[in-house]
Amino acid sequence: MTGSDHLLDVRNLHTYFAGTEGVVRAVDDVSFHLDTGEALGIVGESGSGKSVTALSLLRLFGPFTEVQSRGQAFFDGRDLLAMSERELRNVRGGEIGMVFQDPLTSLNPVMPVGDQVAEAVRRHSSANRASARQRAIELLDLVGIPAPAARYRELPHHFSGGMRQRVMIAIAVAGRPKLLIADEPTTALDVTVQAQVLLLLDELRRDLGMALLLISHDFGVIASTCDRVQVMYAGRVVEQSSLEHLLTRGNHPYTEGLLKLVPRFDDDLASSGRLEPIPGQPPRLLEALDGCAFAPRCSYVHDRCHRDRPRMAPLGPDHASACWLASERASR
Amino acid sequence: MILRRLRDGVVVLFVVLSVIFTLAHVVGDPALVFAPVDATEAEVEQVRRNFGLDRPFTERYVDYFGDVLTGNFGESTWQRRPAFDAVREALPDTIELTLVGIAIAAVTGSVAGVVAGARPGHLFDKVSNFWSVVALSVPNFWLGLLLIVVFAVNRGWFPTSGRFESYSIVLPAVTLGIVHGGRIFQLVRSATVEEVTKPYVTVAKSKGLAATAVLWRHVLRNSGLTMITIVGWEYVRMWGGAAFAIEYVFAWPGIGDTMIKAAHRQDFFVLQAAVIVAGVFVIITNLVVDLVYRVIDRRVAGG
Amino acid sequence: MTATVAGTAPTPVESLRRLAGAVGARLWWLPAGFVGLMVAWALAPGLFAPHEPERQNLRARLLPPLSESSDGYHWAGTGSLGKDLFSQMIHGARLTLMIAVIATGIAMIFGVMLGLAAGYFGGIVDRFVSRLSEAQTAMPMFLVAILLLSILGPSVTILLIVLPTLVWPIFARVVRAEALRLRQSQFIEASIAVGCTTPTVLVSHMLPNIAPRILVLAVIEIGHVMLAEAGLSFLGVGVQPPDTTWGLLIAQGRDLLAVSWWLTILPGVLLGLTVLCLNLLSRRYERSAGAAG
Repeated sequence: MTGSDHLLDVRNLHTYFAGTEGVVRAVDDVSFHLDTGEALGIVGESGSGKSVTALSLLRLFGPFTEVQSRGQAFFDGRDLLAMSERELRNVRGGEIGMVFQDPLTSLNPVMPVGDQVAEAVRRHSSANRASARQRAIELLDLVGIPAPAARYRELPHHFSGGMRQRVMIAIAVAGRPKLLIADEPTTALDVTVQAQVLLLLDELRRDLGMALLLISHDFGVIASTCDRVQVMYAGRVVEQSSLEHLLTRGNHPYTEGLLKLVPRFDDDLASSGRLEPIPGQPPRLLEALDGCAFAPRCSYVHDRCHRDRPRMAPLGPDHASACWLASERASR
Repeated sequence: MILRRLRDGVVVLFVVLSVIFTLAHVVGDPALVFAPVDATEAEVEQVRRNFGLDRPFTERYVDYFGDVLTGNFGESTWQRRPAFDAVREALPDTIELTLVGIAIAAVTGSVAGVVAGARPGHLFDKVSNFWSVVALSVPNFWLGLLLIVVFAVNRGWFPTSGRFESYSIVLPAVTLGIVHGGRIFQLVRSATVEEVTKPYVTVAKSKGLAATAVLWRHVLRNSGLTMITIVGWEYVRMWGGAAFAIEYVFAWPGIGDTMIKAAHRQDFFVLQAAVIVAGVFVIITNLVVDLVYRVIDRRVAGG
Repeated sequence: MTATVAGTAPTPVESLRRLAGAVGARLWWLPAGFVGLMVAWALAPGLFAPHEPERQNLRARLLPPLSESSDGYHWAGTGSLGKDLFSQMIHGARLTLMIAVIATGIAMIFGVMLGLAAGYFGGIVDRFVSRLSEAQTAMPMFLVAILLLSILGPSVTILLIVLPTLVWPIFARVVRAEALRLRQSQFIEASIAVGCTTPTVLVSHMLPNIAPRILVLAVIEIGHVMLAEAGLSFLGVGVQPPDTTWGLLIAQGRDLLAVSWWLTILPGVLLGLTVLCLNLLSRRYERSAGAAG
């Protein structure tokens, strides 16, 4: 079995948790790929499996989680899921950096922020204490922390949420990664700060030549940063496409529902109607679903949707959708 | 805060002494309480006159606190010397035993607690958790007796009781270490579990750090302060009971042994002196633990 | 689905269901069965004891466990007067459990009343109760207990007065916290709004919601009180012969420790197992309640 031409090539990823009420199929047969320098957005409601997908790649689950992943995830030709813990540790924070959701709790409260960056530097280079410190100051400067040398010894609680997220990003890029995974990086921030952080991520991606995997429940966040988008629902990918294509010719009924949730300033509210929530709740992922996971909430549902699971079917050069009505809807 | 705790301690001591005094003077016949067990009618009458027990209650009450404040805790009827001296002599032995005991408890309890808490639900966690419950369920004095049977009577490795060899301290200290180590284990374990589920631990892992590095550099740096406090409170707790019964079991010549032998001889003043001395010690230890916590907390978080 | 709506307290029925779930878990019968057996011993020792506990037999003195004499078989051996230890332990269960249960009950009543008052009324009542229960940690109360018992003269009655003073603060603290939480919940506010009197609110609305928590706590505390009573009796200031408890049996065997270990060790095993089973039962309940809530 050989690797892949893509930087990241995930094939048939399944991640199951042992929950109190049974096995939770958090990620259910997900495949996607990402090329060097590319920005891919994963969008979906909470519980759609988008974060778990990212955590599965680096095996970053908490101590209480009994979790099992199957499938393949080739990164630079090597399968992350087949790696030993020791091999994977060299990838974490090295070739793949990760930014998390809540900057308020993601930094060690009793360790100076500079040391937290320097620690990541030293782990993935042969730098000594002094040069790691120097590099950490450069990184803090890079992510836009004013007076980084002076603030090196300060503890996280002296920083605002936005500044802490910048520190987090400095940590994530400290190992000069080829891929940066950002899991809801702006969700916990104020709207104005959100835009700054997204801009920073975009700049860093271009300047450092990284690929970006951006995970968000917010189409707006994805739209401002990503080239390609993949929509997830109930642990499955339901549609993937280039950004423009998805926004204009989104195919899957769930994508359609999500797009209706995005307020558009350029639209005339009176003509396009109100924001419409999708009726119903996402399914509990406790039992294997035979049909389409979205069928119970879908307004275009027909018999087959409950019976057979639709697979991703190509609709164009870079567009695929998992819906039985895909081609019919595409030709509308 | 610190002062409040000191004030609370003094108030409690005052209340306890008042209750003791009232019980001795109002509920019972103080002359009978103060006199030795085998005192004759005439001797009891003698005691009554010596202590001025025919004076009014309030007058005696004021005098009593005057005596206590000036360090006059009365005369031991059994040892025929000031009660305070008997207790003061025993104090260093108790401090020595409790310090060795808490050291054993702190080391075993914290190490096992951190290891178990870092990987909750794993085999070591389950086994050590069960053993800590066992350690807390068996009577502490019985545990001491069990160790005597096994290691002193059967094996003959240690003396059964008393303090004649340098290693006489081993069995009583180990007994204290097991009992209090059990609780330190449980508290440290839950503090560790709480810490390892925090997001910054995942972030530390995402840097590529090994599990031990995450534990040492991140988790312990945060839970260390809690662990110090846990050990401090546990030391105070030791003075609240186990240490004294264990001293009696091993005939360790500390306050507990002195006090219980005094109880058997109805030596009221030694009993009372022991309670006062132990109470003052606990109040001071409480203060020290608070202070240590505050100093470290300021150094860690104050920046 | 039995999930509770956020902000409302679980109903007593649901708490009971949790309790049942806890007991229904694997191996529940081991600790529960052991505690049940101890209760049976306490209720009807005559049915279980193979011998008269006080019957002396000087030709069967200090027999080790699992030996036989002219009187019959001695599972746990015999003491210095030839009394059958197993029968003594069975008869000792009665007073051991009785003192523990009654003393815990008294502590519970005081703790619940003070805790409810503190949590419900707040203000100066709360400060008084909190300070009082906190204050206990500032004194070595076990020593105070020894002193009190030796002034008042050791007896079962005095024990029942002294032992509750050691454990009531735990009840008060837990009940206070629960009452504070409930005080803010909608259904209590609603019952005040519709004009329920204070006693009605406390007794009919708050107490049933706190009760399961208190009962679990009581199970643990019965164990603690048993240990405290055993300690005091062992030190000679608790139960006095001819009454007998497991703690006293341990004390009586102590002088013969070097010759007849069983006289000390076996009653302690019994006591330790009982407390262990009580702890395991309550932990199991708490774990399943935690998982459900």
